[in-house]
Amino acid sequence: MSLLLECRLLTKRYPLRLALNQVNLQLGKGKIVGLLGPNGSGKTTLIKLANGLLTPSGGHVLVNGQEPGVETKKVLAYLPERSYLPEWMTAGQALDYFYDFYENFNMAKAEDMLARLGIDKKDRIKTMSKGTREKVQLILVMSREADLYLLDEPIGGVDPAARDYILNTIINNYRENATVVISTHLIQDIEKVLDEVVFLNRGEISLHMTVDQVREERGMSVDALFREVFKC
Amino acid sequence: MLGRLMKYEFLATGRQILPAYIGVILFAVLNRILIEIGGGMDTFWLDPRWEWMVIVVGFLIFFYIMAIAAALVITIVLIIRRFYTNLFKDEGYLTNTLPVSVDVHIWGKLIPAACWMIASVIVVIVSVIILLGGVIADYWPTEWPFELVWTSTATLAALLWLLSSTVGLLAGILAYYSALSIGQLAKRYKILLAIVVYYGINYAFAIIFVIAIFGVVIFSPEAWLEPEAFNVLSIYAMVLGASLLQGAVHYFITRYILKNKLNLE
Repeated sequence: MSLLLECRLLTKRYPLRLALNQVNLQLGKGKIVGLLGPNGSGKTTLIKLANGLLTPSGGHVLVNGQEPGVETKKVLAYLPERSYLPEWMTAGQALDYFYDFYENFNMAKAEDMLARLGIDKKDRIKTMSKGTREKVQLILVMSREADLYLLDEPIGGVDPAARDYILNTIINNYRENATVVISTHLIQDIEKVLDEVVFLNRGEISLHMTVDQVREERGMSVDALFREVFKC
Repeated sequence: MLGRLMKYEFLATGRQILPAYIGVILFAVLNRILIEIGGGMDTFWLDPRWEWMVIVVGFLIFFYIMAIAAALVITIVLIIRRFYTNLFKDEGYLTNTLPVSVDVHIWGKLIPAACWMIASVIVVIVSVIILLGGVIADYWPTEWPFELVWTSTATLAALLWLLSSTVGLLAGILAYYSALSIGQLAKRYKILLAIVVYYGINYAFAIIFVIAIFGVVIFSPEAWLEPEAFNVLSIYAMVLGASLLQGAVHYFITRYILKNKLNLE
C-alpha cells in the first residue's frame, strides 16, 4: 500500500452547490503536491473531507488506505485556512497541547522554530497578529512527524518575506516518505518547490501531472499553464 | 487520552467559572464579617447605632444572592458554549482532528461539566455555612423527633438516590449536547433550532412518561392500591430508569452526529 491519499468517486453536495463531483485522485509517498484551482473550486472541501471534518455525499476518501478516523488522524497533519487555536492559550500551552495529543510531535523542533521567529512562549494567541497566529499554527503542524501534510492556503495571509520562511519551513521539515499537499492559488510563489500539480476546477480534477511533465510536454511553467486553463 | 482532554476542559472552563465561585464565597465572607462587627446575627439588627450597617448588609446580601444566581447561570452557559464552540466552531478544526474517538470526546466534556454542576451546588452550600454558620449550629437539633434506623432498605435507597441523581445530572447535560448537535445540522439559525430541539425532546419525554404512568393505571389499577408498590425504592428505581433512557437517547444522538454528520463549513 503505497498510496497516502486516495479519492474514489468522491462527491460532496451542498444544498445549492456541487462542491466535488466524482473525484478520483491518487497521491503516493514522498512528494510535494500543489492542489491548485481558483476560489470555490473545491480545494478546501477536498481537504476537509480527508480530515473527517465533512462527510462525503458519495464515494470514499482514504488516508493510508483507511477511512478518516482515529488512526488516520494520527498520521495526518492538517493546517486549516483559519485560526483554530483556542484564544486563551499561550504559544507554550499550544505546544503542550500538541505534545499531549500527537505522539509524533517533536517538541524540541517546535521550540526551536518558535525561538527563531522570536515568538515568546508566554505570548497569548489572543494578542497575536493574524500573521503570527498563522506562523504558530504552521510551526505546530510542521513539527509533527506525520505521513501526510494537508496545508490549506498556508501562504494566503502573510507578506512575501514570511512566505519564503513558510515555504522553507515546509521543505525542510517533512520527511522523505511523507507527502505534503499545498492548496493555494498563489502559484508563482510555490511553483519551485512542487513535484506534482493537481488542477481542480468546479469540483472536478482537470489535470494531474508532475511539474517536469508540465514543462516538457506543455513547454510552459505551472503558473502559465494555470493562467491558460483557468482563463476567464 | 480521556484524562488529557479533561485537563484542557477544566483549564478552558475553569478560567471563567472559578472567578464566579470565588465571588460568591467573597460576598458571604464580607457579609459575615460585617455582621460579626455589628455584634452577631442576633443583635446587630437591634442596635440603633448600627442602622446604616443594616442597610449596607442588606445591599450586600442582595449582591450575594445575585452572585449565586450568576454563578449558577454562568456554569450552565459555559458548559453549553464550550461544547458548541470547541466542537462546531473554529476550534472544532483542531478538536475534531485530534486522534481521539467520538466517545472519548463526549465523556471528556461530560465529566468536567458534571463536576462543575456539582461544584456550583457545593459552593452555594459552603457560602451559606460561612454566612449563617453560627445560626445553623444553634438551631441544629440535638435530638431528632424520629428515630434514625439504618436498615438495609435505607442503604439501598441511599445508593439508588445517588445513582439516579448522577444519571439524571449526566442526562441533563447530554440533553444540551444532543440539541446543539442537531442544531448545527441546519444551514442557518443553528442556535434557534438547538433551543427548539431541546424543548421538543424534553416535552416528548414528558409525554412518554405521562403515558407510561397512565398505562400502569389503566392496565393494572391494583398496582396503585398496593401500598408496597409505592415505597421509596420503587420511585427511585423509576426515576433511575427514566434518566437512563433519556441519557442513552441523548448520548446516541450526539455520538451519531459527531461521528457521521459532522459538517464544519
